Amino acid sequence: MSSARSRTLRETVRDNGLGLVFGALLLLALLGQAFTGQAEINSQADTLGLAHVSFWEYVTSSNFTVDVAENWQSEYLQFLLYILLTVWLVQRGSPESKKVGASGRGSDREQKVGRYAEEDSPKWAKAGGWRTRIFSHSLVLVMGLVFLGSWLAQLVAGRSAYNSQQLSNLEDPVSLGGYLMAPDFWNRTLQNWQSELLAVGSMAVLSVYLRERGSPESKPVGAPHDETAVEG
Amino acid sequence: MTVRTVAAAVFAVLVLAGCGGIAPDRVGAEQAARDFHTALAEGSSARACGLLAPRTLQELEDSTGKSCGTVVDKQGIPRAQEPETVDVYGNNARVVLRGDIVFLSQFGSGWKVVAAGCEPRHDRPYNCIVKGG
Repeated sequence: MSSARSRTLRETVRDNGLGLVFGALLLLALLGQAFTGQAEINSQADTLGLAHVSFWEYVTSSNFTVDVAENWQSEYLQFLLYILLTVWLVQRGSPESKKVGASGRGSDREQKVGRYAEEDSPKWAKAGGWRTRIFSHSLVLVMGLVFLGSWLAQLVAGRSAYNSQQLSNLEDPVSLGGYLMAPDFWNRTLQNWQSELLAVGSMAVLSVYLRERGSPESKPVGAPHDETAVEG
Repeated sequence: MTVRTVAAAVFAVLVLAGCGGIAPDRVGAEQAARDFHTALAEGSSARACGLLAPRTLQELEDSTGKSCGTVVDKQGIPRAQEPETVDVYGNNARVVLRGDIVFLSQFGSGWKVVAAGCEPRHDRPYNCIVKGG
């Protein structure tokens, strides 16, 4: 009984290794960001002769929120764009791309929806109508909602953090509309976007010529450079 | 499961962002600004000095060469009455009273006046009669 349960747990961990490891790394990185951010803000407080903030005060502050949200929105935008653009655009030789000439949404038969759905297809893929239409775009819909939610959080929290700085400089706070037009909002946004676009673009191109043996993100080591849509 | 976890995390971020962190202490900032001006109006210099932020107190004493209690009421800070608007972001606040504008910061011991007797200047920091260094 106990050995069956431990086998089940082992299997669960094995079957969800990627999600679990990335989840744990995310928590560690967030914790590190929180501790170092608190230390930085308290160092600034010393310089200005202001009071220190506690760890809890810092992680519930607009300063921490905007720093987290500006990174989240750009990550989700990156994947959102990648998922959408790879429907129509190709990169010859890249394992991230469809074959040249295969761009587009694909037929119902290829996509296994409606009457072409298979026995073990998801329920909404078989259902047809609006449910299949929504399910056909559910990945982009959710990624898009998380992107917009994070960007909105960046706007609201960014304004609060910006206004705190304005007041400490004996300057007027700005409205939400004013912050939407402020260099601070767009600088935070664009500096994140450019790095994400660089990372995803270089992944698509470098994977044409470079390999990582055993990774599904790479072509097999011996695959020719011009072979497209092959995963190792 | 994954979608729900992400949605919950985003919701949490939005709630925190919407609140601007812990609910800002508008009442405390407003009360400190009001107390400062009441102390000046009543000639209670010691109480007014006790409400100044450490850097502001030090700057006042350094620039005048005298103790705060003997000079704070001679700086020409205009008399002010009821607060009209209060803006609080993080540990900083601006209280616009009828007659004066006061900037404050929150310390362990409560809200303290960072600058008083302030007048706005276009696209530049306020010009304040009393302020920290």
